[in-house]
Amino acid sequence: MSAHVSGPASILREPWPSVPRQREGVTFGMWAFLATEVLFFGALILVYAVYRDLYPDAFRAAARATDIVYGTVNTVLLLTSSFVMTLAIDAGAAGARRVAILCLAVTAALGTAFMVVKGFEYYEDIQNGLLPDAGLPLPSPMSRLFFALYWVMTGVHAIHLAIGIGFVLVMIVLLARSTLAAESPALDVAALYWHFVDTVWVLLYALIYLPGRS
Amino acid sequence: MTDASAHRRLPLRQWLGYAVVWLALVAGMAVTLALAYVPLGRAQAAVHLAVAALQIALIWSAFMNLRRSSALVRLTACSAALWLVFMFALTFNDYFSR
Repeated sequence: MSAHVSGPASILREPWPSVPRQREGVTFGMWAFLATEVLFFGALILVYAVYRDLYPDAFRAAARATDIVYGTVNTVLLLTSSFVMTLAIDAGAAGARRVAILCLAVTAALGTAFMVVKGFEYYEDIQNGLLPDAGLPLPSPMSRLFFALYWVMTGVHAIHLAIGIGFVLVMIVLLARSTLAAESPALDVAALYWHFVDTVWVLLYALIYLPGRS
Repeated sequence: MTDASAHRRLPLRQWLGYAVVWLALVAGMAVTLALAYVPLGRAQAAVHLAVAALQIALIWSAFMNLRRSSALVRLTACSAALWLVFMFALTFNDYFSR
């Protein structure tokens, strides 16, 4: 099969009998994977919920020590990246390969901007001693629990986002080489993963940055 | 095949709909950020989580296309929430009843 042929023939893969069945199958597969991711992040958030319930004042003081400007800027970046990713999928479905590539590039750039902002935030956190050890400059030692979860949850999220950026970059290269058709379900599953990483951040924003401000 | 020959009309009306969803998501963030500075007492966490849940529902239904997905895909997404509820309910049942 020619790699340069666009259309149903280049989209369909073994063992699927038709493109709609293939799209349904890969979408189902990605959602099944995302269901396990929900439980993975859910377990971390459960630990957070239990400790926040046990030590509410320590968690409020610790959350107040985080930098809400970085957190808010990153939320806007990720929400915008999800919006542009949606445009990429629609452009791909309409056969507009170049528009899809452009939108994917903007999505990856916004994801990278998130990582850069997160890097600045981590640097300042370390400068301010916001680490889960005895040097944490907060009155309650239980605030260390918050920062242990802060580093693990945001760190694991950043790893997921880095994988997402890599995923999007691969899609850009495959689309640019016409190895992948713009209508391919592969783009749909990349988008599902991207949006999921976005939803995790929406929740982390509410749990990490917002408490203890009033 | 060139892009132009494969090109169909871009779904601009649908893109406008996605832009509205994006605006709603950013507005939700702005509201929850503003409410973070209002002393709501014990209701604060519930308000933050309610806005976050609304934002996630918007992303899942509009951006992740669940509202147009098949019953199988929707059920799979719901199963994630179901197991999450079990995990939280059983764990908190233990913590609250000690």
